[in-house]
Amino acid sequence: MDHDTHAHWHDDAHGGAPSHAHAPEALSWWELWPMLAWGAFTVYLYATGRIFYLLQRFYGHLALGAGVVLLAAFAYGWLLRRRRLREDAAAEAAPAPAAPGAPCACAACRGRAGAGRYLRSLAFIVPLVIGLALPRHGPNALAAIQWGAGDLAMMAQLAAQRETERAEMQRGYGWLTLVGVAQRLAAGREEKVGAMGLIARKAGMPDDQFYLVRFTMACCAACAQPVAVPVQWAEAASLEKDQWVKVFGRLDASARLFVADDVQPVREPADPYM
Amino acid sequence: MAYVRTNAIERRDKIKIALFVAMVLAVPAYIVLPWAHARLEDFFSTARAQLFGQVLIAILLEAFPFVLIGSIVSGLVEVLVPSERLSRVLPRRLWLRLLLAAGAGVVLPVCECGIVPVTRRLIRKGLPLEMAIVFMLAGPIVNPTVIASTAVAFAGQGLSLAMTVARVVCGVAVAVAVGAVAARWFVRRAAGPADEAGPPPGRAPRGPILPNVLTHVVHDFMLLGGYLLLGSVIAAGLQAFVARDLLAAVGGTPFLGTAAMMLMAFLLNLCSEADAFVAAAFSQFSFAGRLGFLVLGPMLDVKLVAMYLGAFPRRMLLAVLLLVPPLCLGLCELAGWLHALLAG
Repeated sequence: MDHDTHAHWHDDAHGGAPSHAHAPEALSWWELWPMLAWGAFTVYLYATGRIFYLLQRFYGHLALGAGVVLLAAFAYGWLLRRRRLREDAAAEAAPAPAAPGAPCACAACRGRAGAGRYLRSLAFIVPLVIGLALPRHGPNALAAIQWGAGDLAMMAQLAAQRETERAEMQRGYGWLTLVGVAQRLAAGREEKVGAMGLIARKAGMPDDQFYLVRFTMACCAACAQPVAVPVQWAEAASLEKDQWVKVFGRLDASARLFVADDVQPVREPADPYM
Repeated sequence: MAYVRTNAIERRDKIKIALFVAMVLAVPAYIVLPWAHARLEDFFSTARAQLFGQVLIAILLEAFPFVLIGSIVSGLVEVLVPSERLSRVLPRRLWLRLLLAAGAGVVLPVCECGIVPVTRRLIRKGLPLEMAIVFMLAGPIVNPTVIASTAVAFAGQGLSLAMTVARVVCGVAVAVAVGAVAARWFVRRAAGPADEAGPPPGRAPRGPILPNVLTHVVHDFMLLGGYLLLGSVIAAGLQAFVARDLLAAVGGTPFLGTAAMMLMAFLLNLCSEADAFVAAAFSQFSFAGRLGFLVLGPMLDVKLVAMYLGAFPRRMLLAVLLLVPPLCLGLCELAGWLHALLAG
């Protein structure tokens, strides 16, 4: 039993029944610190905007709410713990005599709460370390290939889930998101368009082609789906994967390709999702 | 039994010890931490490690709020609901009880992560295991938010009504069937895992309400959070190393296509409130396949299995693992056949 964490009364004056001193019990630091750490971590990710690389807006705000609740729970639990320890110290001055009776049967007294509690507590360190070391961007080119880039039917279906996009004119090209480009490719329209995305390549692709990719996200990065438009450009081999580019060109409906006239490297946008 | 009492160390002594330890650790920490941080950043410069890390943290960040909500509801149930009252309001007939449990998800809309601590607490309060199984399996599907998101996701394909109705009907049918079989299996209510400190089940602890609720919330959150972590690590690993289009190759094949979609739902670990949008995008799969994705996902996925391991008796977990997949496969194929018949 973890004597340091709660004053545990084997109050057998009640004939072995669970004592009222079981509730509330002082929370252990093994339970309190993950609440503080995870709450602070969530608030930090939200404050730096990094949470929106991982979660859709609504779920990002929800995670912040949960983080604040965890911090509040930590604060209240800490106050309860302090009060409990003060009560223990006061009770030390006038200890009650022991009474015979059946031993307390709760898990803590039987020593069954030990190892699992410590392991679970320590396990919380892992995601905190990983989360702080993650780079500040959305899913990468590998995710695009793993999660279905090149599946034109899926791309068309993702595009169909959105309203038909209107183009804004830029340099004589209709500027669109990749969803808009996918909608026009699926509809067989041959237009001059421009779009932005990151570069991905699948094994076996011709050297003059790459996928221009951007992700849609329904709830979190785990469910992100790539909208990947195949682009043909003579100098494609000079481009690196995961590089963000703006592409201007025309749609070739018969070949289901975006034939590029110009490709410009750009910085990753603040919101990499569509 | 001898009177046992903790001997608390003087608070001042504790502060002195803490300061001393901090000073001793400060110097090596100053050297080690930047080095460790640099090594970690190197590790996460590889694409696959980044993908793993992003998926892991995303799943955790998305699931933890719901586990917290479920833990709060569970804490309130523990403190405010006496077991005697619960057993008095339950109907006697098995089918009525199972249908009541299935419908409870409409009144208590929690997603599949949040429903685990609530179900666990209800079992400890005396809810029969078969009712608990039905509530846990059907609850995330009859959740009004899930129903709405399913309708919206399939609206563009003209399948809004068909898929929504099929999802609810098949989900409830699978849950009730598993519950009915489980009612035969469990002759007596099996005890839950006895790994938490606190009063034995059935007795509401005396004392102030808020501290009691907090204690149970923290215990549930820590218990289930640990298993959620384990499940999320496995799920993130699968997402980082297994290409989704391996399963897409069997898209339109009867039974095999549905089984592939069910396997994908098991591996992807999506929230039931958003999985419909992902399912809708898999147009190469049949109606039955996408339905299988939507029915199995909220009932069984990697992180849920990990949470079930920590929360429920082994026999209950076994019942769910053995019965849900084949029932889901069969019912979804039947629904697909009916849909094809009605759609002409």
